[in-house]
Amino acid sequence: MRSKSLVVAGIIGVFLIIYGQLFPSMSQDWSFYMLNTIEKSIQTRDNGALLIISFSYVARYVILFFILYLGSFLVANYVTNEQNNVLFQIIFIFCTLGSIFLLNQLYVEYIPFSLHLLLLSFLLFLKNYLPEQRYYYLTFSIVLILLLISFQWLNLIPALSAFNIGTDDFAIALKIADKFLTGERLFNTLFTVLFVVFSLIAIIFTILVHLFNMQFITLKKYQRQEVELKETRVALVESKVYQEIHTLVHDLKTPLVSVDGLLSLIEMKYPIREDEKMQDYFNRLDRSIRKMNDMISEILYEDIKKAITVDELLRYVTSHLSLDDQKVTLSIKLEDHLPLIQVNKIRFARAISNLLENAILSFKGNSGNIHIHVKQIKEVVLFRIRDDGPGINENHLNKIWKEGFSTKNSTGIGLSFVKRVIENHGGNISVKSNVGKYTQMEIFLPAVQKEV
Amino acid sequence: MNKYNVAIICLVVAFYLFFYPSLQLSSQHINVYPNLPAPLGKEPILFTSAGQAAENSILSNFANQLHLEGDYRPRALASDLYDYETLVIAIGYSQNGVLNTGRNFQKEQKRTITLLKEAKQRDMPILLVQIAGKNRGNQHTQELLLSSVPYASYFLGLKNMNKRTEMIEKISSNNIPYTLVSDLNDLKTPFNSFFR
Repeated sequence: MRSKSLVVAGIIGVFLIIYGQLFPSMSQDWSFYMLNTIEKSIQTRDNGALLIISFSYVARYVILFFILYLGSFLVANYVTNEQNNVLFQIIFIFCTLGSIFLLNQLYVEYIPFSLHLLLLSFLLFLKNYLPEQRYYYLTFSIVLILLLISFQWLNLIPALSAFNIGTDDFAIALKIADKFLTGERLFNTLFTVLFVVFSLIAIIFTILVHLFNMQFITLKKYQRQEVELKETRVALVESKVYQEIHTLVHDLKTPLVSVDGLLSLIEMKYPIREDEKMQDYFNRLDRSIRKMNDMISEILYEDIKKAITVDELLRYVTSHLSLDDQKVTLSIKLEDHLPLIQVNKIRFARAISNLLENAILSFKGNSGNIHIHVKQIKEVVLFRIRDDGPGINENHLNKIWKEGFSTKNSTGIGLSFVKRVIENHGGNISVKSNVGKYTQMEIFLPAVQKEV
Repeated sequence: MNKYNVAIICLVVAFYLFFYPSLQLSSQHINVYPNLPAPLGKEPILFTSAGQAAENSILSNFANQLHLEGDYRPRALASDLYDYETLVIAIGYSQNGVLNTGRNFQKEQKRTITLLKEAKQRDMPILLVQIAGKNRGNQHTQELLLSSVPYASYFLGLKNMNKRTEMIEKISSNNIPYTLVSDLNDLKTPFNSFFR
């Protein structure tokens, strides 16, 4: 499938070829002026006028051939969809020479193919060194114009007439007039110099563009390496912070064991069983300590999972979610008789929270809706989180799970963490989005074979 | 196939086409009279162009240099002959030149033949000159030359003219004296000998 810009370029190419074929008849006044001036320069023996018409001749044919060459280039590009293969080069040559053949037939011109074959070989050679960057067509056009100017001078060098060069109507008239006026000295000298100068400019320009591009590529490489280095540094710092937190959480266990031991001691030493109120306080304290102990274990050890209800999980998630300052409406729909799920509550809740926080952030303070729908599909529990926010760009959809990818200038570890946590639970996650309409995340998690 | 191969093939074909005309060129040496033994033309002269190539006006410039009396009227018709004693036609076809006169090849050929017929009828000496040599070796120039030769009193041309053998045969079969020179500026001497 060809891109829209390629199709447009192809249409422009065909238009240019047609325009090129009409150009001689549209510029007939120009050609009559040239013809009359040549005649006048012979009559008045005016070398200056002959020289001016020579420049005019080159300008006219450079315009004509530039249109035809560029048209052929665009058509070949459309047909092959690539510029670096041999087929492209063959079609480009075929279109160009075909256009020149048509021109010869329509206007009884005797434009030689040999010179254009030489020009095409130079052009294709130099084209290989032109970088395919943003201004590719511009750089190609400049090289093409320089080569066309350079090779048009060859048409006016009388010494090359023996090689079938400069056989068109004006070139013959100009060369004979020069032979009559200067004995071929003027054209042979001046136009050989101009040919060399313009050819050198074309070659130097190509080399400069090529070198500049190489420099640009190296610069970009350095920039990329710098960014990677920066990211590695950030990741390293985060990893250290994570380790610190891990150690801190781990250290919380020691005072918790002490509190638990002291509570048992108080329970044994003092007759609190007689005081119902006190007994209740003690029981609550004991539950809280156990719960805190479980939480610490879940934070420290990924593999610690327990069967909980979906409702319990979502209540835990929403209790930690701050929606007070937001204009976002969160609705939750749970199907009846959902099975239990085997999860590390802290980590899985964190993953769901991450998704919800991303959705909230995408609204950028505007109003919006987030809908959570949980249902059972055979032996799997499906969590569907859908928001009517701005959506995710199609080009970004495949990249969002990659570590370090972010469009919000953040660390870019949020979604990769979510994916890792869900996959650690034997599930998987997928995303669908329509820019400007919605984003939908679907988490599939294996159910525990026991209904609530 | 290497990405440079197509460029190399183009280069080879281009060079073959450059040297192809040199390979075809006849190296046959010819002997021609350097000029006429006695003059045929008289003044005043009507210079005209058959084919309207810009370089055809060089002849009138030669005439000026040789102080020959005459006018260059590239679009002259048969009715213009009454004022002149000799007709000099420079043959060289230019598509743009003919278009500039608002004619086409057929009309230009008809004008030339009518002019030649009228000059012949008036018993005027006719000098045919082809000054561009093989540079104007196009088919239309060739046709104009072949159709004009039977009316000519003298033919002047360049040695490197296109289809030289065929032209010499045509000129000889009509018993027309001819002179072929190597260089454009060498035409001046035999041109002068036609009048003096």
